[in-house]
Amino acid sequence: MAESFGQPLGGLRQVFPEGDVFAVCDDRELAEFASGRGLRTLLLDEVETLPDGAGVALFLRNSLVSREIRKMFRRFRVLLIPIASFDSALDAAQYTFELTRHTDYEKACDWNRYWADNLTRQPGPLVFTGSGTELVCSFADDLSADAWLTPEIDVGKWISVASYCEFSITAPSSRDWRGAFDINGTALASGLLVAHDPRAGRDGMARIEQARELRAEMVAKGPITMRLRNGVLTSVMASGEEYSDAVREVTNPDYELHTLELGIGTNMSLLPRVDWTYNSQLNEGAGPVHLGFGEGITGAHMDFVVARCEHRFDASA
Amino acid sequence: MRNITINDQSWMIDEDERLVTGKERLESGDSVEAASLSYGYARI
Repeated sequence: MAESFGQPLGGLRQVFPEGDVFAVCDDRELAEFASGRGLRTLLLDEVETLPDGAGVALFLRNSLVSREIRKMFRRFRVLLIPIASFDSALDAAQYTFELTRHTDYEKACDWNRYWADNLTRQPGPLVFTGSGTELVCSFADDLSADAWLTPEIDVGKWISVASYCEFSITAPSSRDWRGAFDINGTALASGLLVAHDPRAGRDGMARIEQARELRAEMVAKGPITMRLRNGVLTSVMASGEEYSDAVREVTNPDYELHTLELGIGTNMSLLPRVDWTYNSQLNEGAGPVHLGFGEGITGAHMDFVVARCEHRFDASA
Repeated sequence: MRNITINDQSWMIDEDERLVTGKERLESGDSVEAASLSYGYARI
């Protein structure tokens, strides 16, 4: 498979092993960049010219996911890269584009299957350990997770790149924060991302804008040390400065820093290429674990990404 | 053994890309529930 990474499609050929494959962009600058990398590229308003069943890597730099956009792609096999949910700046979009090509989707799916299997079979807590991280994660007996288990996408399917790059477990509701998982311990995060949901309202967007500034400041001062007790972030520090009040505010203070998402990274082969200064979704799964706060609607969704650690299941518990 | 549901399809959509099941939960007053349930649908 390593051979395909020297080709214009790179790892995308794993997702679309046969047939025509196109990069579709909602923005001319990114389309020109994609074309310069050798991909067959179209703009969003040219999609109707594509043949049925075409493979599409859909890069949304300026648009958020909507029903209208989904309807345009019903005839195709779609890998979605929702750049606008993170950072629409051209350099961030180009960076995300490149990491999308360099992702090893087969290996990511291997990891997703590993986690589905082991979280089913292993009764004890999952421990992330090493390089400044010591997190103990326990799980409910009935669990829902989002992950894509096989590389190929069939016609009519619409799969977000994040479904490959992480095995994601989220809290069921704000009435049941620990209904899916519980976390205790310390984590050393190198990356911090801010995302927003297409349903974010005015108040939510105001918090999200504040979160973007906070993210830049914290990443510049990083790494970030997090302490968690019973699933709640009790401390988050960078360069000796405490940021928990600021993070609580931008992720919606009503949520009181409860962990919303436990994301297990499955795209670690990307790590040597990662630049943590970018607010890119492709950074999210490049570390072995990330913790998310806020849902991106009433406030920011902030992911703290641990770049390095090992894991084990604690059979003694 | 733990029971794990991968990619909960309770947000299934119809031919017009409208939500047909899970709609009540997605539109509930609890944004965490909506975000959690719809992670595969409106994925960010």
